[in-house]
Amino acid sequence: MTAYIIRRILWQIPVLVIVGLLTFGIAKMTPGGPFDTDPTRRQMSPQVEAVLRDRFGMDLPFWRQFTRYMFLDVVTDPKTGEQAIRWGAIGGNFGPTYSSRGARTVQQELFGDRGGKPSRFYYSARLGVQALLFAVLLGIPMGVLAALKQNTWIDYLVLLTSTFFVSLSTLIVGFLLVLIFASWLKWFTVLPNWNDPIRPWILPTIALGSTSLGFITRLTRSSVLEVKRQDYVRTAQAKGLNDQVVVWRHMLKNAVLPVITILGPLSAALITGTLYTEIIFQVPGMGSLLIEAIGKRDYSMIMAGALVFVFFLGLANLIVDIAYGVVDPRISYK
Amino acid sequence: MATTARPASALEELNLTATKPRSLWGDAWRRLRRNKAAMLGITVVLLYVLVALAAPWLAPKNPVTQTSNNSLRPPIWVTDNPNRQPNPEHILGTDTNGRDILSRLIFATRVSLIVGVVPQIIIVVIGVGIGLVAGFRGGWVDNLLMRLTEIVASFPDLLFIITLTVAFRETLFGKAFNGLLLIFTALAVVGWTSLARLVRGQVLSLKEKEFVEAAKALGIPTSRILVRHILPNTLAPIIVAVSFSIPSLILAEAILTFLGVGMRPSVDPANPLPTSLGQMMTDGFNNLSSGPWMLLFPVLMLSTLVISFTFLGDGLRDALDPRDAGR
Repeated sequence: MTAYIIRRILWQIPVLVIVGLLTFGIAKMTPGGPFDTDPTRRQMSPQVEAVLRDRFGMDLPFWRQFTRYMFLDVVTDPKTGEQAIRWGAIGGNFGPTYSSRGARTVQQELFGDRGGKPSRFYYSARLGVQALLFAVLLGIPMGVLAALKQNTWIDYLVLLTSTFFVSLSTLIVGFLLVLIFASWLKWFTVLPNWNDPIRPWILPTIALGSTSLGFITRLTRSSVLEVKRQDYVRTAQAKGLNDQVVVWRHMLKNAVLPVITILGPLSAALITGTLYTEIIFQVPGMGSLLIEAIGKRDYSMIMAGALVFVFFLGLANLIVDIAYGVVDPRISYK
Repeated sequence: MATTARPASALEELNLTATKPRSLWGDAWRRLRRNKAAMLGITVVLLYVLVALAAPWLAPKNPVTQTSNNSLRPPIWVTDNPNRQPNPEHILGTDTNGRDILSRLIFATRVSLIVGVVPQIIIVVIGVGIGLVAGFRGGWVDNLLMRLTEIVASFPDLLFIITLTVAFRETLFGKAFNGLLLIFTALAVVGWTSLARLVRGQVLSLKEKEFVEAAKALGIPTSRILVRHILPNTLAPIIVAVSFSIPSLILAEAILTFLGVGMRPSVDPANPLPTSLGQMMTDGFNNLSSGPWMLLFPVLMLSTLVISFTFLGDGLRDALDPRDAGR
């Protein structure tokens, strides 16, 4: 088990490096630089631009720029002449942002607090966790209910709703929520007030969790139906056990196993879903920051965004795999 | 439909098996026809195809031409705002530039359907090709191809597509067909991995079967075995996968356009692909308070199309893989 976890963590490293290389290469190929300014406005002086290019190491060869960004760089202190190692992305240092002309670093933008307000990361992480909880806590009971009442109107209603959620994706569900609850019923304001601890979170959480909710409901339903036919359930019923005990103790434990396996892919959908959910509901999180960075060609921010997203994706998958091994002792990792 | 015309089906089926040989595809079609949701899905999809093909004749107005003093008219049944009365010429109202929403919707279905089909063809070619070769060859070829698949798949697909579209957006390639060519390529480059894995898995189990061994023993060349003996047996799961992937491609176009890296608006009145549902939704979202109908109609249009494809996909899965049909 330990060996398996270590191997999985090690496999993340080449993935992150390749992802970094791809993003870095693509960002470099992109026409237009971060210091391009509107030609009608006042221009940056060539000296200032030279200083900036030097600070960001933009005139170094490609591989040097990449290793400097990704791994480490040996910097020489101009006064004392001492050499020191400055870690790159693997040490959590994503460098200064281009859009702030180097005044702020990427990690400050992502994780630092902004004048008393919580960090960008806090908004995205809280939204993601809430959405996942919403999907799991509502999806499993709905799936169990539908399976126990198979072929009744409850079952059909649950199936139809979950099919809608699965096929419509967060974007459409988000638009529909905005249209119905903000534009028509006026229960929520289109411009959220983030000082309120609950209200502005409701719609984005539902929208982001909807796809996962649909998947979890459908999967729980079909796996409960499968378990219902098993011999051990019949034995439990034949022993004269209470229906509740059979459902909760004997069926549910085995029925939720497949649900854990799809939590990995679902967290992937949740993580990328934050990109547009945050824009629809104007959440000041990492997703909206990344989209802004794309518009501004802020290379360091785009790369950091991609790396952070891939990192959390790998982490989520790893946690799911380990959880699966813990819950189901039949699984052995080699 | 066949669903109602078959009361004594159990007995009849028994007779059928005894007298007439039944093919896999015939069986599947019979099961599909009995599935009401799938038939509804097919009908709606065909309707959309018709609308897309006949768009120039169906649309009451030109979807691009702007009329002055005609902007943000509500749909004709919304008459409660005295400052903004509907114009009877525009059934579903107009957008901020005074363009007829109904006509724009009709033309926008074209882009949605094309986005569902063209990248899908590329995905099938790449995915099936890699899956076939990896599964049949095995060894280091398999290892290499599957590592490649794993890396492409481990990148969150939306992020990858965004990076690609951002990189090439300003090039000549990125501007072709209002940016559609770039979207097609980006979607295809990212989308083939699951199909490749699916086909590889199928091939791995098929190549151990006796009929493949027999073909090998007869000295039939490998390429012929792949195309004539293995590929046809992987078709059913491929068809199911494709029917589920089409709606996700249609949604991906809407998402990309919403994030500002998708299709560009066209101002050419003669353009056969002037706008997309994603673009109409983006316009609508940006004018949510002044004209919610601008968002509502494209959202309804896209939801209907996507759900129809899902119904069809569910039906195809049940029809082609009868082992799961009882669930």
